[in-house]
Amino acid sequence: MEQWITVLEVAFFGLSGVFVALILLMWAIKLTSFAIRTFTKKS
Amino acid sequence: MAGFSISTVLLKTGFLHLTIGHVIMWLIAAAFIYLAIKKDFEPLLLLPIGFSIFAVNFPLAPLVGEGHLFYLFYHYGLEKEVIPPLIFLGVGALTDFGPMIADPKTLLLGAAAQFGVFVAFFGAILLGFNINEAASIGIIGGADGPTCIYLTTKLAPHLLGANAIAAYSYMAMVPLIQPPIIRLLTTAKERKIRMRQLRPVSKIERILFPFVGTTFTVLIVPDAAPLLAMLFIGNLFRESRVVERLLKTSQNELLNIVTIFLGLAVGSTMIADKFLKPEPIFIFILGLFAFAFSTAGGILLAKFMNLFLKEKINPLIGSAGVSAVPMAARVSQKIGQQEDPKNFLLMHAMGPNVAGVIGTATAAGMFLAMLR
Repeated sequence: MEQWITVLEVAFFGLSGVFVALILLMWAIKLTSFAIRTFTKKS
Repeated sequence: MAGFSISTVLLKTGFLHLTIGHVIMWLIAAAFIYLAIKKDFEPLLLLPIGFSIFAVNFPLAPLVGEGHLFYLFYHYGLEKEVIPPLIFLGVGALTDFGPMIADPKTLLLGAAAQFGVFVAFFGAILLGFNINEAASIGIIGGADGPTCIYLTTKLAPHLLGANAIAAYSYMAMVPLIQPPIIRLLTTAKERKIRMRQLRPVSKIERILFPFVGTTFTVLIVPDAAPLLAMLFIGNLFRESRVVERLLKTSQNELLNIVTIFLGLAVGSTMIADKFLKPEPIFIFILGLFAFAFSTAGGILLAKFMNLFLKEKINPLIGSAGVSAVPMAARVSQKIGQQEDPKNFLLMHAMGPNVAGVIGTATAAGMFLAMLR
């Protein structure tokens, strides 16, 4: 039983970690692109 | 002076030490060499792996014991973590992250395509593997050879040969494995969805991406740093356009050299008495499950996202979230064009495809953080 709890924890935190990392990266890319477009806009 | 007789000399040859296990391993080696030469299945890896298996399964040959040649390739190349990160350097130098930067939501598809990793992880536990072995088998579903090798070397080095072979075999079989799953999970109408052309990505965005990528992945999963930092360094070489020599070396000579060492090191772990057990068969079955569920994970998330998106995405690009670059993206393109010959999905599919590389390395880092 204890082993299964560990297995579930590893799977849950593992998959969540992947999503959290890539979602943060997604927003970081969006923000970077937005910032670049804003600061390099021709006036 | 030592006395020699025919029997003592014979005992020094391999003949008297040859077992049926050695012969079976030669046949396995022959199968890999056949697949590489005749079927063009990942020849850059399967050919050196195949010959390495053949060579190390000669009794008494001083190749794999401590201090011997192939052992040195294995010890310094894999145990000391050198080869997989160097391959990631080459991959980064070869990869155009532009489609992913232009459409960052494709990162979600790259994350969803890691679903199979965790399904296979459960499957391996059910089949009696311990938790470290299960994680190293699960990562096969990411379809990323170097990451699979990196994680297996750290968590379950005794499974290295079987895991690496399974990962590279399934990567080569993407065009066979994915289409039935894709057709099962998508309708003809969905496969016909056309996507708007991607916006051009500026040079400054491309140069900043390696820094942004390193920051947000390594901060969250520091254990993936050896792979991801090298991936992004390679990509910086590419996008900066000021280090042409380093770029070419990373893409060609260095990548080729480490590929030779990788193949020989992986093959050298497949010695008869360690390899001829039921585990490799289970690993091949679990690897296939992992691959299938990863493909399904990407497609199903794409379909789910379409419930909320104004501009629908073609769910075919979700299947490209497995990181077999660029083969998985080509499969999406091919199936899309079978429904609508004027639908060009390749660049859209490259987004989740390269996101899958980051996703698999992140999944490996998460396993390392929790299990090492």
